[in-house]
Amino acid sequence: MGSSAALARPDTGRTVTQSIADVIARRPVLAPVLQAFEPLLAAQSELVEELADVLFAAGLALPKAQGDQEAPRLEGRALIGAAAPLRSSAERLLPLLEGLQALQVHMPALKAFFLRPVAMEAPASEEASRDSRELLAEAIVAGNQEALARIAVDNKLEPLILDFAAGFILSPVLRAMTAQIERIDGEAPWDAGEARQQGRCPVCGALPSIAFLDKPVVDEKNAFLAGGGGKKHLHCGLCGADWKFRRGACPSCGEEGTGVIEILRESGASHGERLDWCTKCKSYCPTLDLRECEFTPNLEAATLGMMHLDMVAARKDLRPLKAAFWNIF
Amino acid sequence: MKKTRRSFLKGLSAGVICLSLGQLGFDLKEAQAFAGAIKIEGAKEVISVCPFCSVCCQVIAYVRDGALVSTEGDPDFPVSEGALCAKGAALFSMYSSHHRLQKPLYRAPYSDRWEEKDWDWTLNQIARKVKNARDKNIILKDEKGRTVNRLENIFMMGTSHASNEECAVIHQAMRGLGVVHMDHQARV
Repeated sequence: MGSSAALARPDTGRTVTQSIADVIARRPVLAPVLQAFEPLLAAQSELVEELADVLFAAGLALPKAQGDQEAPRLEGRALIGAAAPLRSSAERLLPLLEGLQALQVHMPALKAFFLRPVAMEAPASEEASRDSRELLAEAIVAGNQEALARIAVDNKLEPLILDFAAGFILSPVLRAMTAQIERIDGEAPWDAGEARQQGRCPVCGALPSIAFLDKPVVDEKNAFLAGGGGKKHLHCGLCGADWKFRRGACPSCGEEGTGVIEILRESGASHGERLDWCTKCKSYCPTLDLRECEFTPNLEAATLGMMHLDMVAARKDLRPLKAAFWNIF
Repeated sequence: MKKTRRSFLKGLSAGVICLSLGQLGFDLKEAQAFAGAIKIEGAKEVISVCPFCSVCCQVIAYVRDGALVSTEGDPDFPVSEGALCAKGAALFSMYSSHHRLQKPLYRAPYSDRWEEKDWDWTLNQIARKVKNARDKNIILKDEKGRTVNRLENIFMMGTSHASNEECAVIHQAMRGLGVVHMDHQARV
């Protein structure tokens, strides 16, 4: 029974390019945005595997859980060794970010910050002498916007620009760390037993960018006993972790019960795309019902491709669970 | 788009914490018009219980404007993890099927047709027949003279369409009458 969710994980589905092509075929009006970000999303996806060796060489590994399985693995942890993989990620992604007109003027400062050589000597323990790329990564994981702003100003960067670029560059590094997770019967340790009680990511602590309802698992011996599908999993857009969550609960405020969660979807053929929103705190999370999808899309591409529902939510004064460039209008 | 550290932190307090597509230079007029034109439907997710048998599998009912629009198994219910049997999977039709009875129908003895009756007439008729059967057949004492108040001529067949609470009330009513033969559709 425990492997049912693991079998349904959407990690062997459509590529970024295929997923974006699927969305554009349904909603051509989103093509300018989707096509602009397709190379970035595709490169991020490819980087996850490529960075595995860089992480190993830098000695950067996902910390083991410490007793409390509910605490995010990276909470309060120093990301010592992250500078090298961040630099590798930036080498690949900054030329693609340069394709966004608004970033071109900031590119010299971004390159100076991300692409400077990584010191080879052992990192000092004092914060002042630590690589500011690692401090930036820690600030993003901790959601410490003040520290991010300080690093930006110190490096002659605008905080919003650094926040935007760093989000893209850090994500493949964290996803490569998440990929190191030890799975039991294909299931992550935080998914063992009862569903996680927290809406925050078990790896980095961020709120989810998208949720998905998994497909049913057919067990020929017990066709009617278990595995009807529809189990909700939350997906972290920053580190790529997925975790099970209760259908009737809000990941943001934790409220749970009848009528707490409502859905919004396009009438007719919605292709499983919907918004799950909390009637108590008015936050929402885009959700993909994989039972209604012919193919399992790349979740990052799917999140961007559901931007039209973010616009609908904004008109209804709903608040995205995870604010991002595609859902702030 | 010039942002200082001060204005960035001020934006944070207002809930604006990242660049938007507009700030990145994208023209979203057409996309916004598209989003404004699509027809959106909503529904509330209500956790409920399938009434068909004593397993009581949890279901998620989708309710729109007070009306049930669909049902599915609740994947968080540990017994079935969202699976439903054929009856449970057809739960929505119990509510929506045009074949279900919506008014009492009565077929008189030796008649070959059903006629619609109102609830008052129907309930009075049932009460009268139950009372007649009980008055005629109640066994007050057994062969050893012990008080038993037993009614063996009425059999109660419970329905899966009744909730646990309804079944409890029905059970007490039957016991009050002295009915001893009872069973349930879900068991047979």
